Amino acid sequence: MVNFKKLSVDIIISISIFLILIAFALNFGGMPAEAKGYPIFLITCSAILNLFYLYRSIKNYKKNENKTIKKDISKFYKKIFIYIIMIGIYIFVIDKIGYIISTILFIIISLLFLKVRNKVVLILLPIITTALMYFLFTKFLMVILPSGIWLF
Amino acid sequence: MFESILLGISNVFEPFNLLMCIVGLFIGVLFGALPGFSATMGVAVFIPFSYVMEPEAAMLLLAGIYCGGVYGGTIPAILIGIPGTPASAPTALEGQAMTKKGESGKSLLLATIGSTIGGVISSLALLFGAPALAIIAMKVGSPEQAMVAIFGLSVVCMLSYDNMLKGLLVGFISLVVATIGQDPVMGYPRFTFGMYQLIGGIDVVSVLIGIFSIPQVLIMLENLNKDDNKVNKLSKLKITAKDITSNIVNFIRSSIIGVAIGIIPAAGPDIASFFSYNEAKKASKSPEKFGNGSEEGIIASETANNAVTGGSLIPLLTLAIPGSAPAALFLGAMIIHGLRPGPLLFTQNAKEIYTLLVGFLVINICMFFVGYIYCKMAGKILLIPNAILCTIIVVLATVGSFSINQNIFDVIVMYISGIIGYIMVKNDFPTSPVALALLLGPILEENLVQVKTLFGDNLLILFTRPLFTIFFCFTIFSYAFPFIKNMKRKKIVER
Amino acid sequence: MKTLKRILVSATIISILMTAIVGCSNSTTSNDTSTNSTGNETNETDSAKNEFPEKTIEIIVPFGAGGGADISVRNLAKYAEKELGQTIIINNVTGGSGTVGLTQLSQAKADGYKLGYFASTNSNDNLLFEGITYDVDSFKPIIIFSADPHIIVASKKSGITNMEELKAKAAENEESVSLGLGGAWTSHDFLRMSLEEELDVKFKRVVYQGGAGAVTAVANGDCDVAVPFVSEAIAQIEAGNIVPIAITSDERFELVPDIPTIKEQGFDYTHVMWRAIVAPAGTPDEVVEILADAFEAAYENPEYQEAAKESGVFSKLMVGEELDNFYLVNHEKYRRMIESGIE
Repeated sequence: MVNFKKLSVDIIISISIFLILIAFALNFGGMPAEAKGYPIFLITCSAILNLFYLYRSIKNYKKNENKTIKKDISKFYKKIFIYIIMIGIYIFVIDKIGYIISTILFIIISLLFLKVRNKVVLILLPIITTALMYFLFTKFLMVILPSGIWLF
Repeated sequence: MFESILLGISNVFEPFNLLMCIVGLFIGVLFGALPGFSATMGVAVFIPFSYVMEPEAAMLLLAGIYCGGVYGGTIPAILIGIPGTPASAPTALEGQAMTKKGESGKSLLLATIGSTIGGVISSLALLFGAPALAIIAMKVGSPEQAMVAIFGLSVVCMLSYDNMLKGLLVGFISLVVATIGQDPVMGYPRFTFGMYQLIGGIDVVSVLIGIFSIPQVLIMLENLNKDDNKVNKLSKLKITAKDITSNIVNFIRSSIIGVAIGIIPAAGPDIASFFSYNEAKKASKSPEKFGNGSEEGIIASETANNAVTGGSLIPLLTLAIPGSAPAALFLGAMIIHGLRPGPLLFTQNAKEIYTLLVGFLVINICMFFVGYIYCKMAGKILLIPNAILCTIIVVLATVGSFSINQNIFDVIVMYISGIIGYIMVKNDFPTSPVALALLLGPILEENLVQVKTLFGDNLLILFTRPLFTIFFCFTIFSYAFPFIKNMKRKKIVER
Repeated sequence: MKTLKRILVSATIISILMTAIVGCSNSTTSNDTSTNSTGNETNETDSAKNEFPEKTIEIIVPFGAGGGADISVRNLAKYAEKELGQTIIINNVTGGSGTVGLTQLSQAKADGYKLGYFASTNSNDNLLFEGITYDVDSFKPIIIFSADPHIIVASKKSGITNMEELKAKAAENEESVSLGLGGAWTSHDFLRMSLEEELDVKFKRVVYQGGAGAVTAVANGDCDVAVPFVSEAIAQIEAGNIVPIAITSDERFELVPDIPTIKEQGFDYTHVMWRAIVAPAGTPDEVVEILADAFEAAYENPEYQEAAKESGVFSKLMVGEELDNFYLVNHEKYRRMIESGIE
């Protein structure tokens, strides 16, 4: 399963790259000539390289179509996927409920998710880290950490 | 000049000033070592802090932070494979493999020695060579900078020669991404997709934080249950005399590269480390080690990035042109303290400037000791269970990318770059080209256009410029090198 | 794990102590724990507690720490703090070529506690870029404290030494004289546009990233002429590597007294980039007045004048009704220039 999936991943990546390049190219509409030249050159080169890449991926895919290795990777990547979502949520709520609360929550949830069971760590780490960050930034560095629209 | 140096020496050793050097170093290394934080950030945030101090003390503090910050990135790079600052990205390529081999202590010590040597050589260049080097700095115009950028992109080819197609693809796409934002000539906002935050382009540091930290975090997550293979102890911080002598050429070459890059405006430690790493790989007798634990690579990268510090101050102090991003902040700090960079600086403010110059040397020498202390302490990082490490790194990366522009948008950029970086790593796409392309892309375009406008009618005239011709030859050679090597390799394989 | 526990426990104690200290020195809002621009943390309030300002004021500078804009504001804020009796913190909200900071300012509460730095061209940002949500009516100007002139400098190679020669050489052919700018749509660029109109010539436009880049190009002879700000040019002028031709202000600048103005050389032309502090539109008039008075007093302080001069900032004052009118007139002037420049 791994090889099979991996090679089709190559093709998916290649197609995604094409889509991105097209999205960029759509912007050439209003651009003045002097600003256009350089990016057009770059996008063209990228497209050509991507074409080679696509060609090679398809060739490899066809060659290895019969090779399949069974491996239960869905669980493996599921963990990664969930963690990525967790980080995303953390970033999303930082300026909604304030830095302090979001960070404390994130640290606790992350530790639990990653199977840390030590109660001491679970309680102390979020507090220390968040306090340190907050103290460092607002006192010393004069960076104003988001204080949340919903709460403050 | 001699009397001024003596004046500087006596001033530097005043207790408070000396204290500032050391404090600056400690702060700097810490900032450098924390992923998500950088030397530039360290200098930026302590500038207002320094307003209450006397100019000399302020300058020494900031210099300590600068040098320490550039060095600090090594520590996590070697121990956990995440560069603390982008300048240590090549070190990260080698460091983790060294740690797995059980040679973490040796690598750290070599890196510390390298950084010290690089820093000391650049301080000497600054102290004694500033006027002469300043003349060279002035001669670096658009054609030269364009050539340096083109040369830099050849490093992309070299670094990915095992994987040319993917490496080039990443390189070109990153160059496209680098064009987002106002173009240098017309100021037309390109590819902003209606988002005003993109008018200034994508923030490079956020992308680098994302792309170098997050994939490592996710990989650590993958291997969470395989903790038994993890190296838990720092190996002995010891090296043999042979380790130093066999690398002498590397130390010197990397230092020179660092100082040279420092003198070139806008090219900073991040670019120097890649260039030097590349040169070390070319000159190495065992290039296959690169990527799998090569101490030469670590030495090259760390020596060069610290050698930039002194070099970047040369054009700053003499011409008011900063040689790197932290140096640009120095400019503002100096003006606020009443020191105006320029040729008169050395005579009008001799005391303050020579205190800084001598202090710079002192700082770089002390860096070895401060670094050593940190290395010993840092060994404890390996004790921390991966779960905690992952969490902390995410928090640091988030707050670090936020504090660049005080803008959540950058955090989102960091996050997306991180995810893309992970996909890249899992699919054998090299990530170093991203750093090089994003850093060099703007320099390349801006200077190419200037060259076209000023010299468009007669490009051959460029070859009358000595610096340009030298860079040109270097570049041609650099591009040809991987192909020649590849052909040689294929011939051997075919036999 | 034991050592880990010990470390964690001691770290917790330390951090709780620190948070306690921070918490105790807090006044009303959570943002008050920042230090002001001089590193002090005095909070002397006026006896009449109900008067504005009652807490820390924040000035958003849409550009990086240490840059020209940032320095000019920090200088002024240092003296304005004493007048207002409250700390002023400078918040560098960079990104988007200044638009991110200004967007934040335009959306901030109009209570006088959040102000921002503003320069000549910003009111027209929505013409230049997509997705800008603010325009000329989003801000209420409080004070103009500087009108920075440019110095026209030439390379030694070009042989130009005064305005007449510059005009003559530029008139020879279109684009016979190359002019280096510090960036597209910057004050440099607008100077070029209006100077071309005044002298009836066309320069070869070369764009650099920042005045320093343009100055270096002139110093090594690659570029003929540049129009940097005083602070950008002064190092090279003192080194004798570039030739100063004229300064674009009304009168000569004390810091460079030997440079004649364009007016002196027979052309009725000035061009300055003015720097201002603004508040979000809708800020109550009484608050605006208190702020304007405080900043004006800070401006009049001879210590400030000296500090400003030393950092290359050309001081000029404008407040009140004169300022309100000027703000709109200036907006129109730049709007016309941009529209004709875009086509």
